[in-house]
Amino acid sequence: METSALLTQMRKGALEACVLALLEDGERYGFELVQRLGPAPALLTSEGTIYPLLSRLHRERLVETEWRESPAGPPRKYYRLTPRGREALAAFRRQWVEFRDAVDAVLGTGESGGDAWSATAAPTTESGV
Amino acid sequence: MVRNRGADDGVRRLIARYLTEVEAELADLPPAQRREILEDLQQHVEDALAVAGARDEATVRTVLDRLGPPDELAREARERLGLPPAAAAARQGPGLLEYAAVVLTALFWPVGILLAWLSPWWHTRDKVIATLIGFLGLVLLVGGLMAVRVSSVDAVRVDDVPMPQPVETRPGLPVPTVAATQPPLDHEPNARASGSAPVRVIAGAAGLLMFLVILCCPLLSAGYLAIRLRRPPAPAAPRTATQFI
Repeated sequence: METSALLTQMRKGALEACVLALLEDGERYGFELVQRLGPAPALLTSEGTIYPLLSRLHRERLVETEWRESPAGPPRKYYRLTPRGREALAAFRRQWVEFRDAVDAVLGTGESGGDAWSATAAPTTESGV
Repeated sequence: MVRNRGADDGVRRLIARYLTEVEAELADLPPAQRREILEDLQQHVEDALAVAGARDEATVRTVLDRLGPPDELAREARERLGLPPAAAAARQGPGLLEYAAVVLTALFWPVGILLAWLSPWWHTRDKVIATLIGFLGLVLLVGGLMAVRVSSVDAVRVDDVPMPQPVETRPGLPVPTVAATQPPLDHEPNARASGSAPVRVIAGAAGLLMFLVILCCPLLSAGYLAIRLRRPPAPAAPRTATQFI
C-alpha cells in the first residue's frame, strides 16, 4: 500500500520530465505522447492523466501549443518545447542522475539492481533521454 | 460509409457522456485549463479510435477505460495544477454556502445570486440563467414603474378635458396641473373619480400583476438554483471508467 503511494509520487515527478524529453526532438500531439509512454505502464497508469500535466506545463510555459493541419484528418494541437522547457529538462537530468545515484548507493540497487522500480522506470527514462 | 446510424449515435453518446462527467469533475478548475484538458481528451479519443480502426461500442469503452475514471483525472488535475483538495471535501455535499445562496436568492436576490456565483455547485450556464431570471424581475420593475407613471399621467389628462367646465370645487383644492406631478390620485375629489376609474382599475391591476411577477422572479430564480444544484458525485471508491458510461 505504502509502496504504491511512494511509486505514485515518483511516477508523477518522473512523468513530467519524460514528457519534456519526448518533446525534445520535435513537436508531438497528445495521443502521440501517450503512445510513446504506452509501453511503460509504470509511468502512465491512466492515459488521461497526461492531459492535466500537459495543461500545467503549458501554463508554466515549459511547452507551447499550436493548432496545425495533420497529414491525415482534422487540425491537431501540437505541443512543442519552449526554451524554458529545455532548461527545465536539463536541470531535471542533472538532478535525476544525482538522485538516482544517491538512492542506488543507499539501497544497494546500483549496477546489479533488482528492484522493481529501478527495473521499470529507469530504463524508460534512459530511452527517452 | 456503410454504418449503422444507431450504433454510431450510441458511440457518440458514450463519448459525450464521459466528457460531460469529466467536465463536471473538473468544475473547480480554472476555465482555461478545463477547456484545454477536455479538448485534448476529445482529440485523444478520436485519435485512439482512428488507430484502433474501429468505432464500435467495445472499442470506445476500451479507449475510455484506458483514459481512466473521471474522478481520477480530476484528482490528478488538482494535484498537477496545485489546487487545494479542499474542493474534494466540498464535494461531499452542498454546504452552508449553497443553502444560503438558494434561500437568499428568494429573500434578498442580489446577495443570494452573488453567493450562487461563488459556489462550484452550479454550472456557469445555470448561474447565468438564474441571474437572467432575476434580471427579468428588475426589467419588469423598471418597465412597470414607467408604465404606472405614464398611466397616472394619462389618467389626469383624461380628467383635464372636462375641467374647463365649472366644477363645484372646494377652495384650496390642488390645481389639476399640480395633481399631474403627484402620482397618488386618491386625493382627487369624487366628481372626477368617476372619469378616471377604469384607467385606475387597469393601472391598479397591472401594478398588482407586475408586483406579483416581480415577487415571483427571485422565487423562480431560487427555485431554478435549487433544481439545478448538481448531484454530489459518488463517493471516491475504486471503480473503472466503464461504470460512468
